[in-house]
Amino acid sequence: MPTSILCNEQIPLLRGEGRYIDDIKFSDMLHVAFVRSPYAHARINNVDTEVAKRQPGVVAVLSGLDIHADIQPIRPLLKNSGFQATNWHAIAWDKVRYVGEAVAVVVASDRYIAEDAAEHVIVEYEPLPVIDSAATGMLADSARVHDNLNSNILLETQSGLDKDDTAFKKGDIKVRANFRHPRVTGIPIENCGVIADYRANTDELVVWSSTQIPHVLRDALCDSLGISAHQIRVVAPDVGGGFGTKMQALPEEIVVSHLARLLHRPIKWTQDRMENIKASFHARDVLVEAELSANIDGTIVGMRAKAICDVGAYNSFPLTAGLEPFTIGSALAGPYDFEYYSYEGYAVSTNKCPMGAYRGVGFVLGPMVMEGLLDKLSQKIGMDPALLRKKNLAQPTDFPFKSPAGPIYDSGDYPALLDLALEESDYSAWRNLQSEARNEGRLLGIGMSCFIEMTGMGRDTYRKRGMVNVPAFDAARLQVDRHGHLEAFISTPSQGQGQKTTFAQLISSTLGAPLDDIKVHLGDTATTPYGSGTFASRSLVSGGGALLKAAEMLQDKLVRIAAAYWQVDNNDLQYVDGRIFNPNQSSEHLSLKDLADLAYTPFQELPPSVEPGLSVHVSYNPPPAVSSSAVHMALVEIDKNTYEVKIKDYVVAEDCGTKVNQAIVEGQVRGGITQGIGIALLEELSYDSEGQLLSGSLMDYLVPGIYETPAIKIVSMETPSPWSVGGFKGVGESGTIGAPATITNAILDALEVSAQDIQLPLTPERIFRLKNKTKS
Amino acid sequence: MVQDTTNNSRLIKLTVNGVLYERKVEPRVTLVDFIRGELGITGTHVGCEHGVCGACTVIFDGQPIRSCIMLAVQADSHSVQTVESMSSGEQLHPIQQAFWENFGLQCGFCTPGFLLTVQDLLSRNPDPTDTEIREELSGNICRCTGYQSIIAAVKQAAIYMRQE
Ligand code: FES
Ligand code: FES
Repeated sequence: MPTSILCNEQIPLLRGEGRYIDDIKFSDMLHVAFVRSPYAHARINNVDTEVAKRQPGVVAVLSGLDIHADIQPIRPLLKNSGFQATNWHAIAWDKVRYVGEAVAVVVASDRYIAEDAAEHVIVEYEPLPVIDSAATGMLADSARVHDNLNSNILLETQSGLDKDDTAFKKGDIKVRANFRHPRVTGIPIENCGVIADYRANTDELVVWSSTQIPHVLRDALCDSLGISAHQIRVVAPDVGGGFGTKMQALPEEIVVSHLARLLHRPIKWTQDRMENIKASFHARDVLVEAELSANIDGTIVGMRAKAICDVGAYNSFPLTAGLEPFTIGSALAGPYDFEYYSYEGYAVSTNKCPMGAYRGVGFVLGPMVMEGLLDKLSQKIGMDPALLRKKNLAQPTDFPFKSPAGPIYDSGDYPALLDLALEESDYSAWRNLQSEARNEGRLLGIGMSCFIEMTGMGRDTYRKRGMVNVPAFDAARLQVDRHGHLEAFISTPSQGQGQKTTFAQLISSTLGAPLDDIKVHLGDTATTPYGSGTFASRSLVSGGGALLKAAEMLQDKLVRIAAAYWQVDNNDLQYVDGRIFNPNQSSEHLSLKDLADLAYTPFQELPPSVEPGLSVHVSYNPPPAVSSSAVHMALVEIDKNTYEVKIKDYVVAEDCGTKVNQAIVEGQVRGGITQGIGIALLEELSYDSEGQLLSGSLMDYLVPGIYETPAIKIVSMETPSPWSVGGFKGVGESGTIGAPATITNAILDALEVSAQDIQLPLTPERIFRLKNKTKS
Repeated sequence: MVQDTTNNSRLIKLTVNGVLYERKVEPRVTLVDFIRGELGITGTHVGCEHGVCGACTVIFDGQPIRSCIMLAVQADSHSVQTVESMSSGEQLHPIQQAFWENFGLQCGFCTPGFLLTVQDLLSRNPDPTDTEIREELSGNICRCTGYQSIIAAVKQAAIYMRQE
């Protein structure tokens, strides 16, 4: 380890033999299309489905009223006094609250017919005032998104506001700025999809979904449909990327499941890209106003920040609208050590598509804000940005380190990581290039950011946040068959991150079994044990941790079987490299296959404490969080005429603890950075004041292509976590967290301006404005 | 299966991966829906249905095209190759092999479109530079890999194919 073992699970995908949701077909399957609201906020006065129902090929057309009595609204909870729950009906029946909200569903023999018939559903809307932004929604006299709530603020959280702020006030210098992260979405190249099939003879509803959270989705379906978990099986087949946007329960998943039970036919819904952009989950849309206080020597004294998050129309399941404000609050201090920190965060509902998770969540705001302010401070006091950072980073001797923002970090060596990045980028050479460029009148800039990512979060963290719908543990079942072959069943499925290979490597290295003898199963509630699923960079920490514990338990059992066989003491035996040696006869050993034989055949007498067979199941509650860290550095050039940004060089120094597969880690980092580049330069879901989405296709919502994405150099350190089983720290989101800040800082450096009111993405037009405002 | 509710269907003949198919199809059915839905050949993926992502790329009479913005009836008497045509039996095509060895995919959803675009590129240019690779693949979106491993894979594939 960390060997870059190739991923066998990719072979069928390369051949075009993957089995994604839209590839699954049943002979008597029906297809659905949803009728969606063109209004952001309106009362539904009538839904006339008669004409639609008469179209040839149409099997059923249902409005919100038709299903109202049978389906409970999506209503995730948060145990927090500042929280307000919302009722999200899978099909709206009284009011619509965002453009794209479903108002009816058409079931037909094929998708073309369903979509045609959807055009014949006549809905009478009575438009209502639109709450078009968080700023509007927070006004005391604002119209309400939900009439039954006290205000549009779905969550309010604060920390440190009551603390003594003398130190903060006393700081020699204050720098402040506003940072706006655009509303974005994940754009997995596979859109979402679901197929539900109800088998009346066994009273079982089988739901195939492109979900990241099969078990938690099953919980959601139980709540909505009012049936038990044992009546539902959720299967995630091959999934074409998730990035957090597939970890929320979709209203469509609930409707399709209901239809399968109602019509006793398999029902399929494949989301199209327009639906994905308009009516699947959005993310971020945050304004952070922040102020840093520091001394003239560059020592940070404190930070004050306020985050306002536009969370759209409803709380999404399972994380709720609390996700961003909570995460931002714990992320802003990053890897730095200082005295004073206060924060207030608000989640404000508006007439826009609901928010969910997207790679990096509020952690992206951590470096965006802190690193932006640090660059501003460095300009003010005339200190090199790298030096300023070094001065304030937590030291390796500080661990466990309590961040000023609250969370406790387990381990790391931030100064060494910064040095590594400076060395790899050849920072002083970059600065030389920059002065040359400036002499020639070119706009060349250097950006850096130091940050941490809290990953694999366990029950403590979710309990503190009050997120009751997240189990926050994961589980593994590991078994050896009677021929010594291994099978593992793990609760954290894959959306392309190579878990099957990583997990097989873990089993192979701990049990000394060849990779070919190991099979890993993921993504099926009928076979995998209950657990949270894949999100928040938790797969290896939480699922891998459970697996390692299972392997340990299995080894323990193997030792006891061998002890019984040789009639020796357990303590005299050790399972090493796939076998156990006889302490009295060193030429004699038992292999995994021999031991399996003893465990399965009835000939070996086992002590009462050892059950026959070889199967173990372990649930693992990971630490509150383990924190991986990274430093990103970018060299960018802005075209003087077009204001187009070219990333000329990009360097990453990262530390995600113990690694299993180097290539998979690098793939996560590079893919993550690419999405971060999108946030920095391209991606933005914009709405007009009527709540109409203006960027509803991939021609308006631009994601990075191969041209916009530079080659990225990665250098690594390994500081194993002392807290997690295996020393793992997650790394799935790290790239996305660091890139927006790094690129923004590089652009500001190129323009020689300091952060004031930063709105991402930095499109050529915005860069032009940044430059010319300061010059005039 | 797209059911004909308009009585408008045309009989078309087209060759997919060397096999001749003769089917009745409504004029509005896209080529990708026809190949996936009607013929059940599902290696070609749909990522956007508006011609931007490249996931639906197939080789049409020797040229890569987007099968989401072409109609099946337009493919009448033409020949189409999909990703399924690449490997021969157990043996991966050198481009597939190179993508595998270089971690040129993660979720794999974009991959068929990339593979066929690269196959076309290498047939015209057996030793492309980084810039040429970027140019040729600029119409395919991958949301997982960050492209660097894809560029490495293309270079490796070029070597494999020159050796053949
Ligand atoms: S599906 Fe055809 S280009 Fe995206
Ligand atoms: S591998 Fe997932 S989109 Fe390319």
